[in-house]
Amino acid sequence: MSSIRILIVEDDSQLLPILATSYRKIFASLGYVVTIEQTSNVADARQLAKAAHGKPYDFVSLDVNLGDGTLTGLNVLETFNRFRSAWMVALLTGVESDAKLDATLGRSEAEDLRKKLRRHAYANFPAERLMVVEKPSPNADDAQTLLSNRLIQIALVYDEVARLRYVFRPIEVAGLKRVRAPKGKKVKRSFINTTSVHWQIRFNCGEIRTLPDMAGFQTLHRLLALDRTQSVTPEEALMSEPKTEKAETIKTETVTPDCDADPLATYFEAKGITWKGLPREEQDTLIRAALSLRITRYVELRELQDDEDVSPAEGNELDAIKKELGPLVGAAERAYQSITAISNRQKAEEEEDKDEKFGVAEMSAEGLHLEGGNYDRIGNDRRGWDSPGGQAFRARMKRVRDCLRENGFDDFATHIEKSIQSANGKWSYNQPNDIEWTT
Amino acid sequence: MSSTVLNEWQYNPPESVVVGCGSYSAALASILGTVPLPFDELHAGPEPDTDGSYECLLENLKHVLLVVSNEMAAAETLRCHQSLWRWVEKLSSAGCQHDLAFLFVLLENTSEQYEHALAIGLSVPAIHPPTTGHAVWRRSGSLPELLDLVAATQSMDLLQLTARRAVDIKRLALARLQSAVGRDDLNDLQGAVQAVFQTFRGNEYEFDLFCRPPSHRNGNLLRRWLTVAVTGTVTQDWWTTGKSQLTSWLDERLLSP
Repeated sequence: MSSIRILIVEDDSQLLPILATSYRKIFASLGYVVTIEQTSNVADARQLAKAAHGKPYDFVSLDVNLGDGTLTGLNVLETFNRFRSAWMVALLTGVESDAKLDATLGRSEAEDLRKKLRRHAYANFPAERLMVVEKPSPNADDAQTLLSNRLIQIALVYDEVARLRYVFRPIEVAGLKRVRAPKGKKVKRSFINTTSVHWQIRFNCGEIRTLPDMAGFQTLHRLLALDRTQSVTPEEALMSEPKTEKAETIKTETVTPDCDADPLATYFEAKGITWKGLPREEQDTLIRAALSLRITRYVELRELQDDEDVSPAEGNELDAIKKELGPLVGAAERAYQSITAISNRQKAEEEEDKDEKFGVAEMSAEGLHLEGGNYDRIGNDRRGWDSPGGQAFRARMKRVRDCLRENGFDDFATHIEKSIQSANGKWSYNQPNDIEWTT
Repeated sequence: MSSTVLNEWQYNPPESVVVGCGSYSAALASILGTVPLPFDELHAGPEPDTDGSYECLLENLKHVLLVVSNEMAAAETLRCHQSLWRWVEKLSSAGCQHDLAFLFVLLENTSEQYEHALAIGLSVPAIHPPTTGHAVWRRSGSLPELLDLVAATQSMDLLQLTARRAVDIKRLALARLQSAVGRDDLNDLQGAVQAVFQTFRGNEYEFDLFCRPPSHRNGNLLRRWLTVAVTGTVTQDWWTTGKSQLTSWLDERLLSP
C-alpha cells in the first residue's frame, strides 16, 4: 500500500474540513495511506513549503486567493517550485465562481484574466505535475457533488501520473570542478561541504540537481544501488534509502556464509563475491584493493579525528575499520602519519585526483553517464558535441515515449517530445507557456 | 576569484554579512567573525567564476547588517539594500526566497525622518522588526542590544517585499508616470502626472527616495517640474523636454518592486 502526504492550503474555514475529509476518503479508496497537513494562510504555507525542502509533499491542494493583501497562492506555488517541496499540486481557483468578474470586466476580459492566471501558474511549476482546477460556485444547487467529483478527478490524475514516475530516472552524472582552499588555511568541513566538489545529476524528466560533495556522494551511492528498472522522482532519488534486491541478497548471505570460517572468505562472501573458486592471483588483487580502500578511509577518518571534526557515526566507522584491519592498523597509522607530513598544497592536489577518479567505473557499469564539465554552462568549444551519454539519453527517451503511447498516454508522450530537447549538446526541459491542462 | 570577501566566504560561509566601509564596519564584522563587504564591491555585484557561474556561498546567511555612514542619503541606503539582494539572489540557491533579517545600523544622531524614509522605501508604514523583516539600530546602543535586536527581527524573503511594493500606491503612481514617458500619448502622460501629484501631495520630499543620485537635487527638480506641469501653462515642447528629464531623474532600480 502506497502512502501519500498531503498539504491543504485553504483560507475558507468552512471548505477546509470538507477538503480534508474528501481527500482522505478519496485517496484511501484508491489504496493510499493518507497523512494530511493543513494551513489557512500564505505565510504559514510558504514556511511549510520551505521546511519541506528535502522531504517534499506528495500532493498539495492550493487555493489561489488566500485573503492576503499582497501574496497569493501563486506565490506559494513559486515557493514550492523553488524549494522542490511538492511532487504534484492542484491549484484551486475561484474565478469560475466569481460571477461578479464577468459582470464587472466583461466576458472576454474575465476570460483573459483566467488565462493569465493559468499562464502564471504553469510558468512557476512543471506543467506535467500541476493541475489548475476551478472550484465550483458555492451557490450552485449541486455545489457539494460538483466539488466532490472534481476532487475525485484530481485524485485519479495524481494516481495515474504517480504510476508514470519511471520517467524520472537519473541518467547522467557530471563531476564539477574543485575549488582550492585559500593558501595557508586549514580546511574545515564546512568548506568541503560547500565548495570543494559539486556533482550534477541529470534526470530523464529534464531536471538537473547540483549537489555539494558529501550530499552528492551519498546520492550517487543511492542511485548506484537502485534497481535500474525502478522508477524514482528526483526527490526520491535524493532523499530515500534504497531498497534493492541486491542489498537483500547481501543480507541473506551475511547470515549464512559458506566460507569455512576463513575471515577473508567471510569478508568477501558478504560482499557477494564467490571467494573459494577464485584463482590465487585474483584473490590477491581483491585483498590489495580492499585493503587499499579501507586504509584510504582510515586515513580520511583519522584526519577528521585529528581536526576534532568527526561525527559519532564516523567514530564508529573508524572503530569498525580498526577491527577489520586487525594487525594492519599499525601500517595504516604509519600511512596516515606520512601523509600528514606532506605539505598542504600537495595534500590538496592528491585529494583532488583521488576524488575525481572515485566511482567512475562503478557509475559507467550501472549505466550512469559520467562527464566532466557543467551542462548548464557549456563552453563554445563543446557546442554541437553529442556525447555517448546524450545518445543513450535520446534512445532512452524514445523508449519512454513509445511506452507511454502503448499505454494510451499520447498527450503526455507528445508533451515530453516537445518539451525535452537537445540543442548544442545541452539537454533541457522547456516548459511550455501556452499549455492549459485542467481536469 | 580575486575578491577578498568571496575568498573569505568560500572558506567560511557566513551566517551574518556586514555591509559598510570604515573602522566601525570592520570592528562589527570582526566581532561577528566575518569581513565587511565594502559599498563599491556591493554595487559591483558578486564576481562570477571563470565559467560565469556563481557558487552558493550565502546558503547559510541569516542576517545582514548595513552600516550607514553619515553622508548616505536614505535613497542611497535603499540602493545598497537592493544591491545586497542581488548578491543573495546569485549566491543562494533559494534566490529571492532566501529568508533573512535586515538591520540598518544608523549613526546616533540620525533623525526619525530618515527611519521613516526607509520605511517608505520598503513600502511599510513603519519599520517593525517582528513583522517587517527589517530593523533599525543606532550606534549609541550596546552590542548585546544589537544582538538581541538581530535575534528579534523576523526573517523575510524578497518575494514578500516585492509583493508589498507591487501594491504600494506611491510606487504604482510613479511606475505609471515612467511608463507614460515611454509612450507618445500626451493625455496619458498628463493623467499620470496628475496621479503622482495627488498621491505625493504634502509629502513631496519623498520623491528623493525614487530618484537617481544626487537624490535630493533630482527630487527637487522633479518636485518643481510636477508643480509646473499641474498648475502652470505649458507647451507641447515643454512636455517633450520634460520626458527626457524625467528619465534622467527617476531611478528605475528604486521604482521596480
